[in-house]
Amino acid sequence: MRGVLTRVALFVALGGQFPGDTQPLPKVSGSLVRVRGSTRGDSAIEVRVDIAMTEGWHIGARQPGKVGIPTKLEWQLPKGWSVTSENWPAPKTEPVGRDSAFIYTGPFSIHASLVGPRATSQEPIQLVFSYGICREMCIPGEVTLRLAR
Amino acid sequence: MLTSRPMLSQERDYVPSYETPKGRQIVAIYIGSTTCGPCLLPEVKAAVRKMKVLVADQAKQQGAGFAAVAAANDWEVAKATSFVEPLGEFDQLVLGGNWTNLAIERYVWRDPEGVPAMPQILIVERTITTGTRMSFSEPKVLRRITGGKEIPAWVERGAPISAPDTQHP
Repeated sequence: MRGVLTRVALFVALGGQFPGDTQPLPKVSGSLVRVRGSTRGDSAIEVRVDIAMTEGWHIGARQPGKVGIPTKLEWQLPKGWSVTSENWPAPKTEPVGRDSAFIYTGPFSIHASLVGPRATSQEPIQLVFSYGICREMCIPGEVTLRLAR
Repeated sequence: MLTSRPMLSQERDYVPSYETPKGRQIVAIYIGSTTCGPCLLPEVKAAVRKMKVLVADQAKQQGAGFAAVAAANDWEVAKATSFVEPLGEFDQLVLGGNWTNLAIERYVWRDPEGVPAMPQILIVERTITTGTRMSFSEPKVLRRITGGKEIPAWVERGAPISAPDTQHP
């Protein structure tokens, strides 16, 4: 699954276009930013995941409701590190027929706290952000974000 | 006498023939899921129902067989089943598996020009030879339509199965 979604993410990130009866594709981008602490010294750090997408498109919340593709964070951490909390912003509610979809429509940020051993680690802190971006159609994708040292 | 079945040709519902096709066959593949908001739009559902009749008629005019296939990419088969139910009859259903769904694997991921998007309709042609062993030509994609606005618009134009810049014999 990872491989095919990477292909999609690349295609989406490049803003590709399908020939024929189709429309321009959206772009999704992100970054993983250190807010506080250092993996070299501190045992706890806070990070922020910043996500942006093409205007007019949306992605699903973590729990998008009956209609919607769930957005997921898959952390890839050095040995001994773990995520102690994730704070997602409240999604917007969009009616879809008789149901509601919970979505993000523009730039948004997820805050997370990580803890790990004090010893220096050369392994990167990164995450895979997977999503389905929708407007008149839905396209799966994922981006891998790495925390700058 | 009152009847619940629409009488106008464009309002007919598609009914599979359940016959082994010989020679050229047109296959319409619809890709969608319950998680795809645009797939749930009433105009998209109506367009998919109407598309099957319109494409089947064109296949018949060209002396070809026709089959309608739905690929519902929900993870759960029960949800996928609930997704295709309002869309009327199909010849084949490929349900579940999310983006690993076998039909999606074949017509999206294994096709270099495949498009990972829902809702999507693919119009494919293949040639079937019957015998002790059936054989199939490599399927050729004639048309690929994606999007909740594009699909109803294409169906409104009669759901032409020829590629936009080519004419079929």
